[in-house]
Amino acid sequence: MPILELQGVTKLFGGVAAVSDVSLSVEPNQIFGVIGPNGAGKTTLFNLISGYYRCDRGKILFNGTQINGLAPNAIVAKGIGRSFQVTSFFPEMTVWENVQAAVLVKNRLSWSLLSNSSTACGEETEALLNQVELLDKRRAQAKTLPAGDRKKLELGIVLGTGAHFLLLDEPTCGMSPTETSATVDLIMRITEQLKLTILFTEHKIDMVMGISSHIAVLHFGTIIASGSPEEIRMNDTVQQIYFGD
Amino acid sequence: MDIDLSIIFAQAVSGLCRAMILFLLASGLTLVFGVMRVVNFAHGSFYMVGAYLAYTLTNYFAASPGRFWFALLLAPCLVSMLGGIVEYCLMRRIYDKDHLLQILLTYALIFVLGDLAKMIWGVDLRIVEAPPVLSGLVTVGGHSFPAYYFFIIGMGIAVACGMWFMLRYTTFGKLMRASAEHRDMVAMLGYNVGTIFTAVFMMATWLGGLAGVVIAPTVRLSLGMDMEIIIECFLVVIVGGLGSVWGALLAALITGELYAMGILVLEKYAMTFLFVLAGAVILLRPSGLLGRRVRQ
Amino acid sequence: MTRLVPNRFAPSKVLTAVLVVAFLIILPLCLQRWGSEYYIYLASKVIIWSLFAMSFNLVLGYGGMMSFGHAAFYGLGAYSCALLLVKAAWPAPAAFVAAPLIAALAGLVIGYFSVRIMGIFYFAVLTLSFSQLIYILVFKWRSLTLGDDGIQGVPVPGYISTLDSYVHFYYFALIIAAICIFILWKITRSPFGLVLRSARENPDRASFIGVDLRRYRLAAFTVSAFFSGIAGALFVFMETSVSPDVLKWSISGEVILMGLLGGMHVFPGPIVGAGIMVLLNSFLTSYTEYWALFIGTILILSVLFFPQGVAGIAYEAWQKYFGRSLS
Repeated sequence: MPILELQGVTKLFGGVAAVSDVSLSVEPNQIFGVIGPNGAGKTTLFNLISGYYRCDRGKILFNGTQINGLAPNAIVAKGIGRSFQVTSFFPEMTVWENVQAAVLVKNRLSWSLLSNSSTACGEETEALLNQVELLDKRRAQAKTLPAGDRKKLELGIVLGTGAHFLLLDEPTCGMSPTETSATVDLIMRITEQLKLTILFTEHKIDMVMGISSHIAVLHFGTIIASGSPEEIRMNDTVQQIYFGD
Repeated sequence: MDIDLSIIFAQAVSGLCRAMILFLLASGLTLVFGVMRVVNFAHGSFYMVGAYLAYTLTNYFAASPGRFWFALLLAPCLVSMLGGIVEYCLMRRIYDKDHLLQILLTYALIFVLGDLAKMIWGVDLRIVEAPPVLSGLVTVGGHSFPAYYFFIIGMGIAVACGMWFMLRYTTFGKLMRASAEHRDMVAMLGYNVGTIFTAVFMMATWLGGLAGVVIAPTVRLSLGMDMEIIIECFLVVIVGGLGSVWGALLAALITGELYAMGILVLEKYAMTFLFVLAGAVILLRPSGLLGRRVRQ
Repeated sequence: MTRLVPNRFAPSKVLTAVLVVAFLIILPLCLQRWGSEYYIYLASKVIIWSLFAMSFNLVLGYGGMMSFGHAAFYGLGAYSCALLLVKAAWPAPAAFVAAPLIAALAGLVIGYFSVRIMGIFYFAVLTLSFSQLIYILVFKWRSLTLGDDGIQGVPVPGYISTLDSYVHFYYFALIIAAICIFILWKITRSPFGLVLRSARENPDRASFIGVDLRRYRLAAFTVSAFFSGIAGALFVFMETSVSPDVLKWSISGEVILMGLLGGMHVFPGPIVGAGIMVLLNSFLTSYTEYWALFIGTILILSVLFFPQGVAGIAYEAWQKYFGRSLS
């Protein structure tokens, strides 16, 4: 059974469909890439899945249960984690606290009013920071981190929520080739270790082709092609859009 | 409990009158928010200054029978100039700053303007008399009303029509509406957004000052009047939707009538009905009756 | 971040704490010997406002919400305490416990509506409106509250406050405030406090780690109302009277200014702000009746030039010199 399924999902902004009748399904442990030109609706799609937007039409099913209409925090509780194109974290808090916050919420300890937070869920937080290679910077204030570390931090926060399905919005956005391959390695390693499913979008076609097990192409809010990287490479319409004109 | 129709009618007219007062006040407040995205907490202060200026002007022209009309003409303009100075010196500096800081600035103005009013006019209660031609009674539908009520209602309608015309047909009105939605675009088209904002603020304070003059003959002017009516004004703006002038009109009508009818039921505490209304709106339709949806 | 002075020269936190405590204990005795009763009264006032400002800061500095109606909780705490003592003849401990509970209930109701409303402006307007409503209700409900005559002659037991001097009350207030501020401190260091802060720093990200923003904000609001209510009750014990002035909108403004002046992102900031404001008020009102003008001007200047607050600046200086964090 697919872990995530979209059925005829449509989102309108003042009459214009940002996402129109999109259907796709993601199998467990897949690395599913979504590509498409700017403005194709990729981020809108992510916002819909994560609950930030409401669908105007259609359904979104996670592990068989309907999640469209739920608030973002409820969707997170179901196991979907999300990262943003522009890294989103808690700037004034330390790296440790950033990840710890997610862990505390996951473990339902966040309503504890009088215990000491600095020691709570320490082991779990440490393990996560280790995994994203930020343990040595745990006392640094998050806003002082360089760009590459910020991505890692966000990944750490997302993992801290206990998500096993990750929505990654352009995870290597703005990175140099070296940084990109380091990030890709990190993501692949973690996916392998934690048995995650990944749904991501990217502009770097080679990278997407290289790591995805399945790709969907979004154009003006509709899916124009879907299949394995090879099938997409051969697809005429896709060729037209990306290499034609 | 015997409430005959004529009392209800009387209250309905009185409610309409109150609604127009609220509209006169709320329109300026919502206008500023709609275009400039700032809540002018000190709106009540400009209203108060308008009322006190009416007092000063009617005293100054005490000899003339048309003194109220002079005040009606002059006071809002003076308040508007004050508004322009405030906008130019203070508000301009905070437009791109944190919203929190913007609120604090206008909030601080309440303190400043309040004490300036205290300095100029002192703590004694003041009275402004209605113009002689409006100080009598008018009989409508078997009931006697102060003629002044109908003047208020008339002013409210005039302002509503004026705003409608301006927003729809004048360049300035269109610029205002455009700036509300697409500030950057308007700037890119070559318009000086700063000037537009100043003009909008001056218009809003003009409306506030006008409300002050219009209301002055019906209340005793005191230094607390800036905050007294402002709550109803805020609630009207919330219910109507921050930024929507027509929402403010609709909400003012509902509020005015609700309050008037509420007096028949709860006498002194009719205000609570307003809060119930506001509470209901917040729960059911948080962006207000005619406000723009904030979230998808 | 380079340290200009090696760590071992930095005064330890414990030493600072001991010095502060010693100072607070000796203060009234010194004031009694070399000053006058009035200064002890002033010191007590600083304690009460410090508690109020600290509880307010839970909502402002940690919760990221600027409430313009906190006078409601302070005032309700005061009026509940006064009414229970005067009209219902409750014993003082019972009234002292009930007052903040009533304030917290108000916080729950007001907060419930206020946190649902999306947008910082709506929140500000709504909290201000609720506070004004309570002010007007108290004013008009003469049969209960005696309106603007206020309630005089509140019976205060001797172990809280004595008639001859404010010293006794000072120590009572000091102990209560210290306990309350300690609890507030524990809350800010708790998991709840951490998540609350995250909700302030990045609400979207917080939602995406599973935080129900409304619930956390409501909780912070209610807790804050509770402690503000205690401050109000203390006020009644000190003055043995209460008037609608405690509910005035300007009280909300003053506590906001305390948070701003003192610095809202440093835990002890509001105490500094409270001290500054109370002392300034005492000094200025003997020369002029235009205290509001002064508040307004300072607020405007703070907004334009000074957004991090006095303690905020001191905190940054501390970090630069000693390379350690205070909180």
